[in-house]
Amino acid sequence: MTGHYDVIIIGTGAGGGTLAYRLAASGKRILLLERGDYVPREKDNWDSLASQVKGKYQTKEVWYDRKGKELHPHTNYWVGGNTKFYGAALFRLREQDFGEIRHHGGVSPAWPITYDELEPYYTKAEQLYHVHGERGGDPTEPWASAPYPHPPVSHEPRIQELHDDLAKCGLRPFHVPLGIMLDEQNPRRSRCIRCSTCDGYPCLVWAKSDAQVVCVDPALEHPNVTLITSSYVSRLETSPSGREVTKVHVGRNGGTEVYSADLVVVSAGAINSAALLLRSANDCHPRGLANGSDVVGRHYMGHVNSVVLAISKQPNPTVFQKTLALNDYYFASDEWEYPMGHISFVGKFDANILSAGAPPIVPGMTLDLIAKHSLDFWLTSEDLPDPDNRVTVTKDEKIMLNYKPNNEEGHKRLIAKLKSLMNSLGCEHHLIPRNLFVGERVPLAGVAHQNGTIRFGDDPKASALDRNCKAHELDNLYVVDGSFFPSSGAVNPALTIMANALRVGDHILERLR
Amino acid sequence: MVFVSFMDEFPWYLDEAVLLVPLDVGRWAVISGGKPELRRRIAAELRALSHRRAGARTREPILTLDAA
Repeated sequence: MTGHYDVIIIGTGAGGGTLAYRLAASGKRILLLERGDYVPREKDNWDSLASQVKGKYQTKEVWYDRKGKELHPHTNYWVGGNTKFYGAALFRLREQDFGEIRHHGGVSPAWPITYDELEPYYTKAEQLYHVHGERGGDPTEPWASAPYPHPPVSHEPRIQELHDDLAKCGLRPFHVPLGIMLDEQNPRRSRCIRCSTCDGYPCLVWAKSDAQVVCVDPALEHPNVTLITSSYVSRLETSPSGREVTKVHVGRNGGTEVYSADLVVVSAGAINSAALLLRSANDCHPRGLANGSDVVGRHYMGHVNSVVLAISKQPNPTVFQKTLALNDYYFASDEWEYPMGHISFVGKFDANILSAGAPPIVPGMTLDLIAKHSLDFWLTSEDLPDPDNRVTVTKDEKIMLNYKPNNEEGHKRLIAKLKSLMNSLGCEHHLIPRNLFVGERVPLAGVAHQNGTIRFGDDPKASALDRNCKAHELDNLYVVDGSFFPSSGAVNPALTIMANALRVGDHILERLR
Repeated sequence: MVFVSFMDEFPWYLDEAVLLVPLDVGRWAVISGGKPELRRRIAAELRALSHRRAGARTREPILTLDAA
């Protein structure tokens, strides 16, 4: 099969899916290439053993770490990309994140665009992805031109109690902005049923605002938009001058197909997009496409993340836990002169999830008992763009992820802060006597927040993409996943990727006129 | 006079004074004209129609406000 299109978009996640929706009504011929298929709708979608422990929906692909050891990435190749499995926490970066910020471990560099330039697209992305939230609650939130389209998702009693305890201590907990299609006023008719299988699971009732449900499927209602699934893009070929991508080579059904387009947009995730450009090296681009600066694959960031369980005597019967967050330590504060990070929750753990890599536990406490009493926190700190933290491709075209954690002091302090809060807040009367506090760093294989590997900037010597996310060295190649981030901030990158895709979409539409 | 438009394509270009309520996947309500307070009240009422599960139908009146 072959064909020529106005635009080819490689990948259907937060970046590619959103861009497809933005371009769909233009009437231009758009081809979406997705290496995966649709997530099958089946009971295992919501089975923690199948979905979380056995990793039924994760890729079986093998990558390598910097020591050459096999790495089984926790990533998902499906229509909608990793948004099918995300927790739908849709945060804006802070206004200051677009400037230079000094951390304990170094400097987080400035972006070539300001928050003000991205703000209108954040607003549209929040509307497109049905975000529920409340302006004014988050002490670090940036200005916004419109309210959230829907009210915040309420806290269940245990989380409300924690909220009140934190507030009594002078902190400012707030409602997590969530992209779910929930109507709490009318639960009987609500598409979302507010279940415990949201964060980390595909939504069986399609009530999570993921890229497939919200963008890809509506885009496909336009006759000018085509999706081909199970299509792995192996390389991009350029014209003899090297200035244009002329062929997109696709592995499908055991064979090779070739497509072409006036514009080619790569959005395969920050790791796979970089790998694709590196695999596509040719005489004009010996270090990989768009890589005269040698930054492609470098500056990999994925956040310094930890899951921390606080176990109290008081049960935590919360079903939908991911409603509360704390940003009091996001920037430098009276507590410390450098940023620490962001505290929120993961979806409620059950015994099955805890059984995977279970930490040593107090004798006599079963995993089920722990799960019934735990508050399951998610802590994120910013990691910094180190050029040696990089994606490379081996001779047999396997992905190698060379990553050494950095900027860890702030994260350690954030964990210590949470521990002291949990011990000293109004919680102490219901913490178990020897408070069991279990913390686990998310391993390298957890690549959900991947970004930074094809950074944008104004200087072609130090960046691969210009401020419109077009390759400096090619006239028709764009990248719209998290690769373009020069710095990562410390909140989930999904909404920023969506907003940027809308911004780039406007640029592309102007160009296609 | 307040105008409510139901759209099945995201309204990319809106005036600042216009309110947008996402109703469901690919369904939008755009509220324009009239006084800001009335637009806000209508938006709040329309939110009660949002996020319906497939096949769900409402039997209640859509709007209880006199929008004129």
